[in-house]
Amino acid sequence: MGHCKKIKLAQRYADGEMAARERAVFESHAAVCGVCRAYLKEVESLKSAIGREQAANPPYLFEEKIIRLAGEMKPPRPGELFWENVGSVSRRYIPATALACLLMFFVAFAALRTDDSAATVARADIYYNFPFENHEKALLASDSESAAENLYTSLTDYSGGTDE
Amino acid sequence: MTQPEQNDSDYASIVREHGAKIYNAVYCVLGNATDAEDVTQEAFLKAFRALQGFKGEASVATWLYRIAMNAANDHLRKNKRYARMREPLEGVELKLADQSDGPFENPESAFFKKERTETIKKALAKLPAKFRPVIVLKDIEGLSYKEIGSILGISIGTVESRLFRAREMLRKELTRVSN
Repeated sequence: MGHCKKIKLAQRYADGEMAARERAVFESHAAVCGVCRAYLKEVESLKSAIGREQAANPPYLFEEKIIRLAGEMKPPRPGELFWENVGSVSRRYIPATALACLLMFFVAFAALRTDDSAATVARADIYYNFPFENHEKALLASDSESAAENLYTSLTDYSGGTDE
Repeated sequence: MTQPEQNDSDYASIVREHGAKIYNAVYCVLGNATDAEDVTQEAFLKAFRALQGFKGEASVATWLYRIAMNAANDHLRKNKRYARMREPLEGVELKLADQSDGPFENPESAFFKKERTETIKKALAKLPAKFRPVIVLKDIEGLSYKEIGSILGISIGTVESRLFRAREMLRKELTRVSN
């Protein structure tokens, strides 16, 4: 079969899904388009073949059996229908949503842990690089002037010196 | 008449009115009479439980088709019977509804009719599961795109494109078989 951009219109036409005006427009196109005419013919024969051949009857007294089974059922309790109303499609997404929540929790937990270890590294940095000798001298100094001087030295040593 | 009695009576008339066509649609989707019976029964019992909550936003038929198609899809997913359906369906009896020419039917014509039926049935069974309900609801049940979209929970555009692709696949398969 060839190709025509209006082939999907041919399907809608064959399925009776067009308004009268649209039908008239399509009919004038189909009059000059062999591809659409061939497609229409094919769809019509397929539709009639399927529709004619595939009808099946339920077993004898099938409906009565269902009515009897329904009569034997207890009426549903309030709230019992919740899961039935959720729908099979929505129900399918529940495990995926739960998994996504769990993953998000782990990611957030890992991020917090990373922040925590960064803080530990920073604390260790202070501990190993802080010039404790000067600081101790400052604490041990008897007079306040030399204590202030020692403390100033320890702080400037730690911060990499002051601007001259 | 009390409320439960009224519900039972409504339900019975719904089952009698729609039972055969719902069974037929499920049968065409599943391609197996035993499964179709189980799934249709399950769908109608679900409908019974949900009857009080039915607000009449859609027609009763659309509502029932929706429940039945969901049940059929669940059944296909649970049982993974695609593989089985792709094999020739031997020994499955197809009951034609009022189509026989009666006792005067020519045996030759009956044979060809049966053969044609089986061919179409196999071609339908080869369709992927998501395309089967669309073609069944359109070409066998004669529903509109809007109704099909409402039953399957898809847009009209999706109904159109699935139908187009399903027909293409069927056409190719039937051409292959006839060659």
